[in-house]
Amino acid sequence: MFNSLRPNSLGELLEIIDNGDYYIFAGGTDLFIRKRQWQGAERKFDKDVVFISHLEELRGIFEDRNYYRLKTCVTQDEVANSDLLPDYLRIPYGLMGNPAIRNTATVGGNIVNAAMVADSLPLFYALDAVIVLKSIQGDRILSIRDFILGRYKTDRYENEIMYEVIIPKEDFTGYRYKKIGSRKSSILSKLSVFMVYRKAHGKIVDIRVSVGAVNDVPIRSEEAEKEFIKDNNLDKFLLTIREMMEGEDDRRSTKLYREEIGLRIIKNFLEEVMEE
Amino acid sequence: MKIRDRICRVDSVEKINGKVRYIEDIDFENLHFARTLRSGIAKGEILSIDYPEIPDGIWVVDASDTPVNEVLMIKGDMPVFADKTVNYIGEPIALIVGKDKQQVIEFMNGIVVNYRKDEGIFHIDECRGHEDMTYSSYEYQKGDIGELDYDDTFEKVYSTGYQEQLYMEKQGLVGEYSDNIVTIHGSMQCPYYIKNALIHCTELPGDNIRVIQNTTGGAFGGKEEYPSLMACQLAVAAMKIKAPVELIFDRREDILYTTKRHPSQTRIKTYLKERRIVGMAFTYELDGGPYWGLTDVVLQRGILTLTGCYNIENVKVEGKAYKTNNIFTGAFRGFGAPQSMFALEQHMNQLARYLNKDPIEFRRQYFVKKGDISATSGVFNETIMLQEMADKLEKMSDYEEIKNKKDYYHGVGVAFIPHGGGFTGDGEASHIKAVVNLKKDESGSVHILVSSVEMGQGAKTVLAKIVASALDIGIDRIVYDDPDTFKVPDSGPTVASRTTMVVGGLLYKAARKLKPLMSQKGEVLVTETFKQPDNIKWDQTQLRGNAYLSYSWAAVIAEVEVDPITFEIKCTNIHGVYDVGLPIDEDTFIGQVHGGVAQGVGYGMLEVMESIDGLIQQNSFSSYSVPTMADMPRMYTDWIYNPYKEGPYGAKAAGELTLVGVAPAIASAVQDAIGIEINDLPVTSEKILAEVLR
Amino acid sequence: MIIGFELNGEQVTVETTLSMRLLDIVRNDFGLTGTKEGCSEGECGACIVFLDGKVVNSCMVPMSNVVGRSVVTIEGFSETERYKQIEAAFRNAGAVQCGFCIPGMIMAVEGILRLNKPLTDEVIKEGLSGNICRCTGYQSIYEAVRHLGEEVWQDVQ
Repeated sequence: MFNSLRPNSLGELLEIIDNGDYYIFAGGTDLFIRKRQWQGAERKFDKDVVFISHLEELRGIFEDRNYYRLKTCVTQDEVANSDLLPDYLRIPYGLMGNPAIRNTATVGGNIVNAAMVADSLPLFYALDAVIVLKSIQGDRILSIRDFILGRYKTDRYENEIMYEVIIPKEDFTGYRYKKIGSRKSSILSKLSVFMVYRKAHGKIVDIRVSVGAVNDVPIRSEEAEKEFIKDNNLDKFLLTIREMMEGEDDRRSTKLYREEIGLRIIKNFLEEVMEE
Repeated sequence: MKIRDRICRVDSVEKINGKVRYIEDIDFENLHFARTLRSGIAKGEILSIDYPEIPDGIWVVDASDTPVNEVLMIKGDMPVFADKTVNYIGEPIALIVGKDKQQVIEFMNGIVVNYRKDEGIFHIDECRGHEDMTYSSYEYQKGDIGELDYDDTFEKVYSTGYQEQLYMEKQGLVGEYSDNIVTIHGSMQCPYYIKNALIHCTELPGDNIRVIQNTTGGAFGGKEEYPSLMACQLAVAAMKIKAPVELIFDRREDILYTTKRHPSQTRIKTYLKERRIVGMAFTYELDGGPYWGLTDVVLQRGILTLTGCYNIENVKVEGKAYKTNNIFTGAFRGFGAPQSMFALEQHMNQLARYLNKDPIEFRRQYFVKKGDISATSGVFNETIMLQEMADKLEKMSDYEEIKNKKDYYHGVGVAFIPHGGGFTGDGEASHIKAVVNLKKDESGSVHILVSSVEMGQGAKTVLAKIVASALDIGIDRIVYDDPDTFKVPDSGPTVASRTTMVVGGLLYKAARKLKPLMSQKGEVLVTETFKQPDNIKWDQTQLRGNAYLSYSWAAVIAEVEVDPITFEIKCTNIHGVYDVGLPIDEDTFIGQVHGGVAQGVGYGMLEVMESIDGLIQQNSFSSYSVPTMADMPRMYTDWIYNPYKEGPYGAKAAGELTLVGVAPAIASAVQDAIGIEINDLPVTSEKILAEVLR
Repeated sequence: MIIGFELNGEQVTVETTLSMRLLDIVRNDFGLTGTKEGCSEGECGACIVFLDGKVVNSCMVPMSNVVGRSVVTIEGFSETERYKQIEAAFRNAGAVQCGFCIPGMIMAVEGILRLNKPLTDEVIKEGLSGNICRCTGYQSIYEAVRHLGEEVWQDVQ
C-alpha cells in the first residue's frame, strides 16, 4: 500500500517531504507512463506519492530586471504562450510533446526527471539557468549543470522540492533550434541542438551551443565557445564537441547519426551566424 | 437511389459524437477480467509454474482446461495455451481471471515460471536449407530461364522489416457461456474463422457456438486470425467460470505480442539482352515466426504476382517461409505484396537508372495487356489500362516538370502495382464458398445478412449502397447490423479486399432476384452463393493458371525532399491513379486511398520496428512512430473507369492496393534525391547517412 | 476519498483515490465511454477531454489534478452548437472511418478553434499532432477543419 497526499500549501508540502521518501507528482506525464497499469486499474506506486500541481505557490512565470523565473508547476503550454518570455524559450517549448501534453506537462517535471530526451535541458544548459530547491531547512541554489548528475539523476535531496528555474536575461541577437525525432511532430527527440548568440559590430561576442539527446546529459563546452569567439575556428570547435559526444545506438537512432548530424547542424548554425 | 449518388457514411454521426459502443464500452453482468500470463523467453521448456495460493475469486485457466489445445487457422499447430514448450516471447501460458483487476494483478505478481531455456532462431539466414525450419516452399516457372540468351544481368537483394497494424482500438473480446452455448463478442474481421476455431477447440457442435461482432476500431489484417486465439482462450475460461470474461489487451501488450507484417528478403536477378529484359528470377523469403498462422497464404500472395505490372517472357520464382522464434507474423493489408512489390518496383527503378531510361517510359515497354500470359501462365482476361493510367499520372503530377526539378535534394519516385481481388486462385470457390442473404421484412426494410464486417473501411456504406441501388430504394430502408453468426450466413472473412467485389457482387445478384419480389406481402428471403466464373482456371499444386479473379491496378508517384543537413525525409506529394473498376462510393474509396497511403508512408519511411532475440524493441506509441497529420504528403487521387464484369456495377478490389505502391515510390524518390541506392525498408535518415558516408 | 469536480456542467462527486486516472473515472464511474483509451501514454489523443477549458489527455491526469475543476467530455461537448458545426464538417468531408480516434479528434479541433487564430496549415497540423488516426490519412480531417475555419471565421466577422 502507498499513501497519496495532497498538501494545501507549499509549507505543508515541505513538512510532508521532510518526513519520508515520496514520489513528487506534478503533471504526471512521465510518472504515469513509468507506473503504467492494466486499463481501469489504479496506478500503484512503490512509495508514497505527494501531488503538487494544484499548489498556486508553485505556479507562475515572473521576470525582474535580470532574470526570468519559471515556477516548477508552470505547464509547457504556459511557457510556449507567455508574453513575458523571449522566443528562444517559447518556441522550443511549443515543440515539446503535443498540445494536450503541453497543457499538463510541467517545467519542473521535465528538469527533475533528467531524462536523456528532456528537451528543456539543452536550453537551460546554454542559458546558464539556475535551479532553486526548497526544503524546510531553506533554499539551495545550484547551476543546472550541478543539479543534473546523469541520466535520471539529479542532486535533489528527498526533502527538497524543485521550486523554480531562474534564467538570466541576456541581450541575444538571435537563436537557433533544431529538434529531430523519427517523425515531424509529437515525438521524443533523437537529437536536438540549441544555440543563442550575440553579435556586436559584425563579430560574435557571445555564443552558446548545447546538444541534447546524444549523451546522458546535454553537451556544452564553455571553453570551446570562448575559444571560438576569439579565433572563429569552426573546425576546432566541432572537434571539441565531437570529442565530448558519447552517443549510443538505441531504438530511436544510431550513435553515428546523432554525432554526425549533431555536428552538421552546429556547423550549419555557426556558418549562418558568421555570415549574418 | 442510384449508385453514383453521393451520400455521407451511414455510421459517421454516432462515431463522431462518441455514442457508438466498442467492446470496451459495453457492460456485461457479472463480468470477469482476464489477463494473460506470458512466456518470458523465446524458446524453451516450462519446467514448472509456481502459483501463489489461489484466492477466492481468482481462476487460472490453462492448457489443462482446454478440450483441444489447438487454434485452428490453416493448421492447428498453435496451442491455445502453451503447455510444455514455449516458442516466442509473450506466448500465452494461462489466463488469470477475476472480477477485481487489482486482485488479478497482485496474484500475477506472485507467479514464477521456471524454464529450461533453449537457443532460439531469430534470423532467416539461420533457416535456409533446413527443412525443419521451413513452413512452405514454392517454385514456379514461365518460359525457360535456363535456356536464356542474354548479354547482361542485374542482381540485387531487397529487405523489409516488421510493420505493426496499430489499429486504434486494441484487441478485445468478451466470452460468455450459458445454456451450453459459447458466445464471443468483440472486435474482429472474421466471425466464421472464430466460429470454426471454437468448434475445433471446444468440441461443441456448431449450433452451440455464436460469434457476434461489435463496432471494430480498425483492423488492417491485425484482427483477421489473431482473435481466433483469444476467442479460444475466452471460450475455455467462460466454460470454466460460467461467467462472461473480458480480454482486452493493453497497448504495449498488443504491440509486443500480436501479429506483425512479415519481414522479408527478396533477391531479383534480371537477364538483359540488348538492354531489354528477357528474364527475371526471384527468391522471396519470409520470417513466418513460431507458428503457421496464415504465413503460407501470405507467401503465395507475395510470389504469385512477383512480375507485377509487367509481361516478362521467362520467369522463375522461388518462395520460402521460415519458422523462427520471433513474434508471430500474420495478416496486414497487402498480405505479402508490400514486401514483394517493394523489391520489384525498386528493382525496376534501379534497372531504369542502370539503362539510363526514364522509369515510366522504361516500364511502359513491359506493361501487361489483355490476352497476355501472366507469371503463373494464366491469361489476363480483362482489359488492362496501364498505359492510360501512366498517361494520366504523368499529366496530373506534371511529371516532366517535377522530375527535372534538379534540386539535389528533391526526388521523384514511381511505382506501378497490381493487386488481385479476393482469395488466391480458386480459393473463393474451393475454400470460402461465400453465401449471402437478403431479407425483406414486413415493413419493407431490406436486411443485409452477411458475415462481412464494418471495421472502418466503409463496408456498411458500400454494401448498403449496392443493395439500395439495385433495388432502387432509399438507403434508409437498408438494415445492416453487425454480424451475428446465429443470424447471418458465412459470406467469408473480411479480408483480401474481397468485400465490395465478391460479397457486394453476390448482394447485387441477390438484390436483382429480390427486386421483382419486393411487392410481396410478408417476409421474403433470397440467397446467393459464389460460383467461379468459367474463365478462371487454377491448379493449386502447380501454382498455375489465373492467380486471381480480377486485378486492380495502381500507378503512384511520390515526391520527396531530403534535408541536406540532417537527411530528414519529407514526402511532399503523392499522386495516384487507380483502376478499381468503379468506386462504389467515391468518398469511401478516397478514404481507402488516403489511409492506404498513410500506412504506406509509415512502411516506407517512418515505422521502424526491430526485434532483438525475439523481443520487439518499439513497444509504444512514442517509440513506434506512425504518421501524424504533419508527416502526411498532400494526396492527389484520380481513377479510371474499367468495369469488371462480375463485380457489382463493375467494382473490383480497392482496400489493400492503395498501400502497396507508396513505399517503393518513396524509396525510389529518396534514391533519386540523394543518388544512393535504397534496398531496405523503411528508409530512415540513419540509413541515408550510413549510405552517404560509405 | 471523495473527490468533487464539475463534469459536463454538473457538480459531481466520486469515491476514488488521488492517483486514479481521470480517464478511468469518466468511463467506469460515469459511463461516459465516448472518451477512448488508445495508447495509455499521452501520445494518441483518443482520450482528450477539456480540463478547465483546455485539452488534456485524460489518461495522464490523476484525480488529484481534477479536484474542484471543470471537466467536459465529448458527451458534454456534443450538446453545444459549435459541436454541431464540427460534426457537419467531419461528416461532409468523409473524415470518419473506424471512428475510434474521432471523439478525441473532435475535442482537439475545438482546442484549436479556441485559440482564436486563423486556421493556417501550421496551426491545424500542430494543433492535431497529438491525435493519431490510422485509417484516414488525415487529409479529409484536414479538409474538414479548413472548411470549419472558414465558417467559424465568418461567424466571428
